[in-house]
Amino acid sequence: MLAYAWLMLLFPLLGVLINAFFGRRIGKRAVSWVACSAIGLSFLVALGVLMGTAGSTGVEQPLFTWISAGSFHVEFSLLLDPLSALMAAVVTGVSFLIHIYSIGYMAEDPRYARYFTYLNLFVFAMLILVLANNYLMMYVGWEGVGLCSYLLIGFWFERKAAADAGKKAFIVNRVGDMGFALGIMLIFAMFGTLQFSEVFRRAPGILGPAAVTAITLLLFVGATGKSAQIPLYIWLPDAMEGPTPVSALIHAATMVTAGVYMVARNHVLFDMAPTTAAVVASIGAATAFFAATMALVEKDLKRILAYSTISQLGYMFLAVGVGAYAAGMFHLTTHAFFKALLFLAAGSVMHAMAGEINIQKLGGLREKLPRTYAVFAVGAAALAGVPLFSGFFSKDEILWRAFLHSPVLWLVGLGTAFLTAVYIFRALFVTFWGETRAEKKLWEHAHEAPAVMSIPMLILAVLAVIGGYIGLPRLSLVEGYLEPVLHAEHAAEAGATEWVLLAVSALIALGGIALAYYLYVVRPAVPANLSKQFAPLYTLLSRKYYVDEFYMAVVVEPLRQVGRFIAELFDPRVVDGAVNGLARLAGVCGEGLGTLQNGRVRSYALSILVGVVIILGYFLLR
Amino acid sequence: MTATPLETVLFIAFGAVAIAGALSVILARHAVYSALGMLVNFVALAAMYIMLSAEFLGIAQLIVYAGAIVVLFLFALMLIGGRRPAEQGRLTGGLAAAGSALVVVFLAEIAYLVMRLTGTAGAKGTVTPDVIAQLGHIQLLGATLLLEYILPFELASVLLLVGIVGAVMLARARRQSRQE
Amino acid sequence: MNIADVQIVSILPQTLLLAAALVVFLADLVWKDRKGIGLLALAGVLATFVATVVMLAGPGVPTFQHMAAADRFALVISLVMSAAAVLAVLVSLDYIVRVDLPAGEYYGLLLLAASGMMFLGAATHLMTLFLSLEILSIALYALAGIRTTDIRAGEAALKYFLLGAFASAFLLYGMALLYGATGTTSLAGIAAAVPSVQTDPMLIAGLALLLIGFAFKVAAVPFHMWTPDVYQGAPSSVTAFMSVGAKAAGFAALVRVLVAVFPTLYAWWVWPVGVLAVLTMTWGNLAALAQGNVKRMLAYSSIAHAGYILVGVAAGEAGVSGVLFYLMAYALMNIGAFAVLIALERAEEDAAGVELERMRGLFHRRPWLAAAMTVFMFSLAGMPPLAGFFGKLYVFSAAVRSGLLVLAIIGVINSVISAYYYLRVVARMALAAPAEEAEPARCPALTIGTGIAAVGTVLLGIYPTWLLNLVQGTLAVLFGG
Repeated sequence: MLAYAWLMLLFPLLGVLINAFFGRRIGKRAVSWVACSAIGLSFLVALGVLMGTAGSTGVEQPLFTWISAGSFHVEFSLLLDPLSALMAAVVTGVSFLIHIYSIGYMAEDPRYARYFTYLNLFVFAMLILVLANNYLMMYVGWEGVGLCSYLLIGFWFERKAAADAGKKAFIVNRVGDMGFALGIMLIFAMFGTLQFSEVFRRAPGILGPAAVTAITLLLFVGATGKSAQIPLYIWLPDAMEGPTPVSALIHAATMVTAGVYMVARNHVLFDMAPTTAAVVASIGAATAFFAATMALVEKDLKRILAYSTISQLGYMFLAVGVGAYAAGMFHLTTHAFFKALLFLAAGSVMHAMAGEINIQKLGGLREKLPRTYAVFAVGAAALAGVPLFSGFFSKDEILWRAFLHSPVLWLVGLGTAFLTAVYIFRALFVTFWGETRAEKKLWEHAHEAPAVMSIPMLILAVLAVIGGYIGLPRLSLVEGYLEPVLHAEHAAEAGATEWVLLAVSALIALGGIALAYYLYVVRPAVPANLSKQFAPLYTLLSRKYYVDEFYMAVVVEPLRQVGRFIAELFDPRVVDGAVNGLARLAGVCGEGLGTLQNGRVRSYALSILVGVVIILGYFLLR
Repeated sequence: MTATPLETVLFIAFGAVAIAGALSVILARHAVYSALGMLVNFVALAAMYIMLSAEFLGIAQLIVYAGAIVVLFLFALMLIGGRRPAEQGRLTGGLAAAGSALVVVFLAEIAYLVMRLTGTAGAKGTVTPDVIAQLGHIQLLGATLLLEYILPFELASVLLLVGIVGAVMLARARRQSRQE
Repeated sequence: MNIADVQIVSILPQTLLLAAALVVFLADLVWKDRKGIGLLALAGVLATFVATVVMLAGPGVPTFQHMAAADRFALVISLVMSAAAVLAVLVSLDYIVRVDLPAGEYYGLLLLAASGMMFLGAATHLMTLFLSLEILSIALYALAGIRTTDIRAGEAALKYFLLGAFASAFLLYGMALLYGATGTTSLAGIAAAVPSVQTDPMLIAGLALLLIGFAFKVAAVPFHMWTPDVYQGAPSSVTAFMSVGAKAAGFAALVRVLVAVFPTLYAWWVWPVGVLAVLTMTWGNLAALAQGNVKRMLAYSSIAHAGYILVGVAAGEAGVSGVLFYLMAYALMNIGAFAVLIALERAEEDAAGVELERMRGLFHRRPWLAAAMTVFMFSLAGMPPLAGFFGKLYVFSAAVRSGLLVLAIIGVINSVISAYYYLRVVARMALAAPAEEAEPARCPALTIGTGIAAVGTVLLGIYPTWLLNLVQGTLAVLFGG
């Protein structure tokens, strides 16, 4: 099966080409068939690879030589090992379900073919990222998914908010990519190759502590951009302007986890750099906590889920930061299931309520949308870490490993778990329970989504429940499966402590849910009072700690101002305003230098002279 | 072969005259004076060529530049009427101060460069007076230009072509716009 | 030496261009068809392109009497230049009729400028170096002012001319000092003499002044002030060619002089070049942020790109191949971007270049044109896997290899800033179109030119190997073997 792994890339690529060139002609039905079957086939191949790589330490499958010039040699090869196979299977699997869901969700959209083209392109780029055997390919995939993300966030570009959100995501990601790119250049400068296996093999001999810290920190900067961690998380909430299936696929389940995958892929380097690892763990924990607090007061259902995604990604970084790469990948997998599920359910709510997404204007929906309510509840339970749901196991694994590493990190993680339970059940209760606050017309019109949308949700709901059992502490399939790649040092045998911690986190989750129940079902007036009593805190949270404003004031505006300053003061326009026409022309030609008497040429010459004097002075005095 | 003191003094004097002439080209308020300043500059340069034992070049400089080209300039100036002195904006304020300061610094740097030059610095080219004496100026120059330096020689003619085409194009356009 | 030793084949591409220029001038006298004359010029540049490719593929050709080399370095520059010239002629065919420019002078000067640029890339002697620099400069001064009905053009040309002459004076002074210090004007001779007279102040000052002269040509800050005015004032097709050609030629000469002649003084010139690079990148990018006119924005962006290339120059020997690759990539993507502007430009309203607002809705009116522009913008911003990305990658990683990590970091930060204003163009094209917009020009040649540039930009990214192999190790034979 491994020999056919390249098919995994080929199918989405074919889907892109067919839908890009013939999408408008062949009709919506054919477009969706092409797109979905491309990803479906790709998923089957991924499953084959997943089985084929079990127990292997990795096979590199060269497809062709991409660049070969002197010492610079890059193969276009697929790296097939348990880590990439697991990631590829998650990506294609979740993508497949979301593609099918999109058939229903996007049915009325005039740019149907373009949507599926982008979506297929995304899967293609993501698979390049995942299956890359070298940094350059990974970077190409990395930028490719960023581009698709930009295109899909701004898919409804007629809405200014969507266009702006796309731009913001693109630019913020570029900041992160800058770190990644520099890291890659450093690696190339030191190793002369960009192939993972070579770099990892020679790393201990070549890299000193400072070098490895610098490289890993730069790589991590890249991860904070793509995976929306502090300080670069600000683009993800805005990214919710895109179509909801896109939010589910790209901005929850797959692309945003690329940073975690990248760190896991580079675990050899991160293991060598304890400082970086500490930074990763701290940033992860901090992000998890802060994002959760912001989710507490958010009113937009999709944005609640977005903050939740940021927070859960924080957990994953916490895991890889403390060296628990397998736990991080495990949580990545379960999170892909339940978060995609939650988003799809939110999409189903929007579908029913004509796009209304403010939870304060919903309510009581469990009557009208029982199926959606059920799957949302499953997703919420998994996210909150209710025992026996998938999120419970993966989160607990991370908390346990964090506890072994540092109790402080564990406490932060535990606090976040509590907040998580509160905010997601707040969303659940406010949206689906109580009296409806929706407009009458909308309410009467509300209807359950068609089968093409609900079946993917049901499948994801099942996965969100059972997904956790593949990684049960006693069975630990994930860890065992990834063992050949990650060489995870086994945590100390689970003794009484682990069971105690397990019980604590279970209680914390249930406590959070109970609190949410009390606040939003039993005493709905309390939250409003609280927000009045703690008005400053509430404002701080609802304005997201003013981080966006901070960046605007400290980074964006100054840059713009300097630009304007340079452009206007030093390089004024040739002739200000629209002075043209023959009157002035006669002037300039007749008088020759006439119009140049304004001194501008002189100031230009002066600037040249400054350069001359400085450069000559440097050379003479050196 | 080293220069005698008198030669050195003369050389510096001609250099000073050449610089003075060049300055007067750009500083004169009347175009005719500029042309005359150019004449002074050309003559001084010719004298320097001759002092450097490049007699043929010196004569050619006198005939072609000082003779033909400056006269051409003067003709052109008379034809288009150099009556009115061009309005010359005075350098003002900060710009003038900064400009003068920079020029002073630049000159100081050049002076510093000259001071640091040791007598032995620099290398001699292959065309020494002995070689010239052996072959004669015109033959040497002709052979050099048309054999070793054939490419720069041809490039110079291309350069002239470019200059002519550009000038004609811009001048023709001006005439057209005046006619309109 | 004998006249029979003249190796005309070593300067074949340049000679072809000169011949084509003469044919164009003569044809213009008897033939008033501007398209026809354009096609003549096109034939000339295509022949040059083919000749360059053949020479690259064939065995080495000797140097033209130490004056001009036909080494791989020179030929790659010729390749960049002839590709740029082909594209420039293609985008001009319809444009110069539309904005009413004199065909004979336009194409003739364009071809002469191109030949001057190629000579500059090939020059191995201070004399050819200076003469070819002047040929290209004077041709460009005239081209910048060719739109004689527009005051901006006239003023820009005059400014360019005055400042260019000013900068040439420094260059010439530097050359004189180099001759004084080494007793020769051939680059190989100077290179041979450098080790023995290393610390001679005359040599050092000559090097400094040469650096200044070239810095003006490539529009490095603070020698850049003319660029925005001239680029905006000149006709767009001229700007496209000038921004690419003059830059490539200037960098070719700069690299040849710094890297091949003064390698032993690397420690001396690396810092000035590095500082110039930082200033140039940062200034260009910040100023581009504030522009509402796409043409002027591209002018500032070209300053920024000169800065990135300077990073490669500062990397010394390691950077040479990166610089050459970058120049080719830049030629394709920048002329392509201008080609799109030319398609949008209307004679009266857009004399100063297309405003950003005019890009609005291009995706709906002309999806392919907009797609091409998107490719160019993303490539200029350095998105993989497009040509511009690899250009930056090679240049910056060469800097890292030479221990100039700071330069690479500043370069990458700058390319992040640049993403903002390139993206703004793309975003504007995606917006809904206002109803009254006129159709962009449709012309087969322009479409072909834009298409070639777009396909080239993509191909150079997806399959960069062939060009990389071409630019690898050019330094070893920098004096023609």
